Amino acid sequence: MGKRIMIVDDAAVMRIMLKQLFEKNGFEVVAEVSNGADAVERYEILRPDLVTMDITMPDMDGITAVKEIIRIDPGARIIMCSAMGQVDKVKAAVLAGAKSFLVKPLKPERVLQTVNQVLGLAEAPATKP
Amino acid sequence: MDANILNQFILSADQIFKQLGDFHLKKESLERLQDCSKVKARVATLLGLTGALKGQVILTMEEPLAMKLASAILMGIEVTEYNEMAESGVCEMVNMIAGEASRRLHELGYPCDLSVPSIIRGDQLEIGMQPRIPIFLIRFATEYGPVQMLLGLEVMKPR
Repeated sequence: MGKRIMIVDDAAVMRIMLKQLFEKNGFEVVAEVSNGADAVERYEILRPDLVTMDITMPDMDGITAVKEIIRIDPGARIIMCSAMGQVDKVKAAVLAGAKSFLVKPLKPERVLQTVNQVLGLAEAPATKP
Repeated sequence: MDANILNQFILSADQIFKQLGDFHLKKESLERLQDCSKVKARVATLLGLTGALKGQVILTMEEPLAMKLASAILMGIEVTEYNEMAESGVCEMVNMIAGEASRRLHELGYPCDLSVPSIIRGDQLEIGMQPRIPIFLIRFATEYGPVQMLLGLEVMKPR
């Protein structure tokens, strides 16, 4: 079985797109969650190998959720997937413990490259996006 | 309001439609409204801005374009009826456009945060905003139907 991924995004269309992409490429999607609070709760139970995390969500935003997950598991591998790519958001996400940051609209090849890199399945790209 | 602020939303809409694939967004008009009562739509998605700019971004369109956009985001799964998935796609569109605009505005000295988008639908929606803030209506055309972007924004903090 492939690496286990949890998808966190309040938009159903993004969750389905990512799930389809991951499953087609040999990953197992263990949970799809629509807010930060549920993400923290599910992470603690499921301990996925990787999490994709939106920022703007109801109940608890993605950056707060990253902080909470890192408190539970300092080795958690989390990739932010957000429409807000400004420098302060990227910095806040990385300081919270995210391993990488992707800006929407998501490009499938870039998502897979980043996931493989964060999971240690591929080398880091030579150039930045 | 600084025209450059409005331009960032127009440029962002153009960029996001292009990035999603086969969409050609053509700006047709830009006007300042005294109120929004004359703006009618069938599908509208709303998103709030806070920070250096405060107000709302509203995107309106009709169902065929909403379904095409959801299909484009899903990359291969065709959305053939107006359903929750189409609505989610429309919400994600306003999120991505406002997200790109907020990135650009941050670079211009207007840091903003976005709220979670919401959607309304009806046969004859009439959209209103607080008349005390400047309201702009930008009309676009696409090959799948018209798009309107309503911006009701006030500058809270000078650069």
